[in-house]
Amino acid sequence: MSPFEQINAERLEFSYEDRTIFTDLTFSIGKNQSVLLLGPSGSGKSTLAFCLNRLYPEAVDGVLKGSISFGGHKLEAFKAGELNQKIGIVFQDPESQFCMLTVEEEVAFGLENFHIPRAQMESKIDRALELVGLEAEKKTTIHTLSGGQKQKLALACVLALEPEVIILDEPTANLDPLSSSELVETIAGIKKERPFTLIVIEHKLDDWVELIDTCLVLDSNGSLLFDGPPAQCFGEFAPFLKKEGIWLPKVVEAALTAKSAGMYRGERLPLLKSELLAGLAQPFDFSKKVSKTLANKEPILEVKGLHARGHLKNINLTIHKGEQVALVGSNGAGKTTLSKCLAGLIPVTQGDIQFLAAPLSKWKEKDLFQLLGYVFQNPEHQFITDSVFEEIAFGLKDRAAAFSILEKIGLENHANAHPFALSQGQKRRLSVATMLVHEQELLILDEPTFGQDANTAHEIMEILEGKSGAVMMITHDMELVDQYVDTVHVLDAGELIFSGTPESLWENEEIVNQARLQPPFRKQLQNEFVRREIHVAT
Amino acid sequence: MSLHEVNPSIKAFAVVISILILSLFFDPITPLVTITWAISITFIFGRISFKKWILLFAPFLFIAIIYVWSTMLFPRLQEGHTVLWQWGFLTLTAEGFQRGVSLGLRVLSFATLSIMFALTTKPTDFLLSLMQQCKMPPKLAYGIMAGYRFLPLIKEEFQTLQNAHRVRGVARARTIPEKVQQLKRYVIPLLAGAIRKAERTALAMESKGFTGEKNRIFYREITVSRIDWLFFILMISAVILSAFISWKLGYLQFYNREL
Repeated sequence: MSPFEQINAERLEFSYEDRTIFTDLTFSIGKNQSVLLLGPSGSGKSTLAFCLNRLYPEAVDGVLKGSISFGGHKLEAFKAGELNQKIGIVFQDPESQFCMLTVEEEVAFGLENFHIPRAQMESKIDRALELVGLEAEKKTTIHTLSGGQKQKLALACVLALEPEVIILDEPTANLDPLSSSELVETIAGIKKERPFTLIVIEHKLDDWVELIDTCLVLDSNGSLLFDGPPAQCFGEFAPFLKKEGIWLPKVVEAALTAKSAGMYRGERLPLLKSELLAGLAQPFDFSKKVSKTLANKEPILEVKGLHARGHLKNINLTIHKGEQVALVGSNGAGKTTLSKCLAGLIPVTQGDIQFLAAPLSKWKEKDLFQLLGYVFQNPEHQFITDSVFEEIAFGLKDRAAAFSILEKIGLENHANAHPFALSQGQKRRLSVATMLVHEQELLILDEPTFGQDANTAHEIMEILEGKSGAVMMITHDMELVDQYVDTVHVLDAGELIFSGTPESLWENEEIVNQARLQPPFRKQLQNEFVRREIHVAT
Repeated sequence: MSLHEVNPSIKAFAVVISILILSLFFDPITPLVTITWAISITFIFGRISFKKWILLFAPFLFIAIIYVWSTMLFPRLQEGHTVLWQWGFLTLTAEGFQRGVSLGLRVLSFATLSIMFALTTKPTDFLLSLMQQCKMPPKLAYGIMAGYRFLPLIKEEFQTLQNAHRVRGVARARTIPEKVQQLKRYVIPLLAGAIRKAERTALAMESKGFTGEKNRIFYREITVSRIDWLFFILMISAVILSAFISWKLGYLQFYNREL
């Protein structure tokens, strides 16, 4: 072992309930390195992270073989809790990682566990909150914080302990685009000021690539696919990663497209926007969806002057037959509330909603939900039977048709399985499919691709594209909006501030900033081209 | 002085002892004086909004009124009881009336004392105090604290679940087998969700070095001062004084399995 190696894993294998999660992992991580841990869903990334600070295997009935050492000592040699001060972790879900009521109490909780003298606590808490920019929220109750603030608080809790390693387990999964970028910026800034080893598990890679110096890639069987610098990882192995369903940085994705069109000259795929621009032969227009000119502009849902829950104010919008609609906005803008109003799940305080030319409130529930579907964020909420087949067949007259739907979503081999026993991606596909059986006129989805790997996300979008009726989805993913959507509605603090085509939204910088959005990569690149041309011309 | 600042464990101790003393007596005057005392200090030293207080008090008042009615109008008739009023099978005796009122006021006296505690004590402070003064194991205390944070989340999840099932076209359950089936449909995802959330929180706590070890250094120290004990003595004296007043007025009666 060379002296600067901090974490050393040898022939790691983890199994849980007779299922091998990962196997034969050998790698080492140096002090103050920044490591990106990649892999498709279910490849054991989080499990590996939890093994590194010894939360696993104790917390689950799993079996860990092989050995991990930290700073030259085997993990088993550390006392209970001792390792947690050296290796901190920030989790994905901002809701369930706190146990106290206020911000300062939560940061203090970690300090108390390590017997930090009371006299030092105050200054340590202040320092940690200052690092993440939450010093003004010291006395605030946690549940009033926004999602982004909660993740910063989780980070502050870890920083207060001054750990040598920080693990981030999908820290931006629940955040809007701007909050995500801010969190990454915060982390990069702190790392400069106070070096530590960083291990990140993440789907949205763009903000991270500049910070990362090593990539560890697991494949779907939990074996180590790659261990090396990101330039090589994405530059040479991008096609393999893509096949595994691993999300790629948008620069790499764009370069792959350009290369297959013969437009990219670089030897190796680029990592940075500037490299991509340098390698492109000429301004390259990456394909995008051409908004459907709706030949038949028949409205199916009309909303006029809607107010609800004291949060939504004077909303007016129309959804047409067969239209693909996106509802976007920052965390807490009221997207879910609005979508539930449109489905008649939340009462409206004022205003009028017409569905298929009849007031929504006049519809009988049974008839309404034959024509209007809603897919909730957590697929488990929507399962009502004991088998996958019954889920689809529920309420269908022609039960044989259920099989063809199962085939369409690739679950025909799981027909008899319990819905809860499926993998995360399969559950999501099933929950979408249960809403397709009646050929609804309008289907509303709350973040349909949330937490999915690239393959599942594309499959879901393909299912939705092939659907006959209109689709409205809530999403934070601007690439999705750019590629699949005809009309986008922007919500900010309970008010609808924009309705129009995605293209016209990207042109409207003011709205994009106000709603904490980011234009899609294609647009960012195009703007860059324009800027360069101006530069060359002058 | 404010009731909010009294050490929570001592406040709880004072309330429990007061209730135990009150339960020794069974007459209308002792609890009545205690109620007056408890309400006065709740509003004078607790600065509680009346609306909040009445919201908690109303259910107890309702129970008390029902008690009074039923004991008054359906008394165990014994010889020598003075009949005040009679109509059909309903008989009101002086003894029955006193018993009913005693019982009702007893309920209300327990309620006012408990509400005084509940409205002037933050749950976090109470748990911190239980750990610091009463040696409650941190594992239990922080477990309760995490559970307390979960309650609103679980309620929210239940509503989402109801909506999700409505959208799937599950008809409202009417017959008993249907209701059992529906309960099953709700319970599994709710439990799965709750267990997963609890596991995540437990993992997060452990990742911050929580081992349940008993000797912690607390960021917020909950102290015990002379004022706290003064409060304790004041509370107990007030209850004893109530009994004394009742005795002076000739009402005092020890509890003798009247219920």
